[in-house]
Amino acid sequence: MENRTPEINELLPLTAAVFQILLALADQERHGYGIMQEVAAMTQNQVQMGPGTLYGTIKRMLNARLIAESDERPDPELDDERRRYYRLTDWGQQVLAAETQRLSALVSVAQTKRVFGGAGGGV
Amino acid sequence: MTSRPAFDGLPSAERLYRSLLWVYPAAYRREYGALMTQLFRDLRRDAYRQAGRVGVVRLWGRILAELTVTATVEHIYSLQEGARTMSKQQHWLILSLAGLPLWLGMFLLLLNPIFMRQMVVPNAAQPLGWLMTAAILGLTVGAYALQRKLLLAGATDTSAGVTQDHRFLRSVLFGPLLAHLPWRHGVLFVGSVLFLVLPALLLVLLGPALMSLLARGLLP
Repeated sequence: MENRTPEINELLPLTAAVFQILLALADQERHGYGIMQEVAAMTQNQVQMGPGTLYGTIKRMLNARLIAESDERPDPELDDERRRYYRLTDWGQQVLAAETQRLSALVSVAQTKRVFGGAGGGV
Repeated sequence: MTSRPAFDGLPSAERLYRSLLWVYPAAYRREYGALMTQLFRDLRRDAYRQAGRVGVVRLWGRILAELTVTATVEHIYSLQEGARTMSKQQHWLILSLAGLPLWLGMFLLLLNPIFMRQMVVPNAAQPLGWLMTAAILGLTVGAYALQRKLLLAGATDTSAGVTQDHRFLRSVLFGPLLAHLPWRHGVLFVGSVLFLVLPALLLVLLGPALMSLLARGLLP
């Protein structure tokens, strides 16, 4: 059965949930609740993942080796040791960079077409 | 932020949420059930702090809606994962078992006019015939779904659920015949066509025609 690592382009475009989780983990390792809070903060509370969406997506991202479970506890004093922390893998970072570049190119196109003009501000 | 009374009732809400997790596949529940419950506890605490009981009610609405969708998705993925670990012999066995009632249904349908003629109630023939056709078509759809599931499972790669190119959705809608034409399973592919699709086509094509002939009294 097939279990090869796909090319980056085969994975793009990422689902919104996958992209947001990758982005949430870009600067530091986080547990599920931390990821959820970071995603809400990044999107000004427009995206609020539920437990089912979060862990379903995490499961598939682990399968795709975009993220991995971390053994380290960033803040053992405050931490509940039952929580699981996740971190980006090298592969996850590459995919995140590729997706960001793709989206950035789209934003550039939107800028050249002046689609932000009427919405009250530029980017 | 307004000060709220002590946050109570958590254990019962948590118990209720934990019991709702039974809608997820067992393996998924074992892996993530405790983490999801813990996350629910955090979310409920936040919702209560921000908006009191109204916030908690709103959270429950969101959680229930999400639970319905994600549990269905997880079951589909779980079925795929289960089928992916099957050997070709097991695939064949299941295909045969799925195809058997279909073939039986087709022969019953072909023999239908003879059965109908034996009926004591004269006007019962047509509705009964349609009912039979519907039942057999139901079987066909079920068997095709099983075949789709089995073939699709082998074609699932690590990008499943990560990319938004809707390969998965496309396969669910159109089945492996269209979504995975590259003959990934060779003989298994041909076998499934013979076992499932052929009798299904015959049923769909011949069933209504026979019914029509029977209704017009053109059959002996």
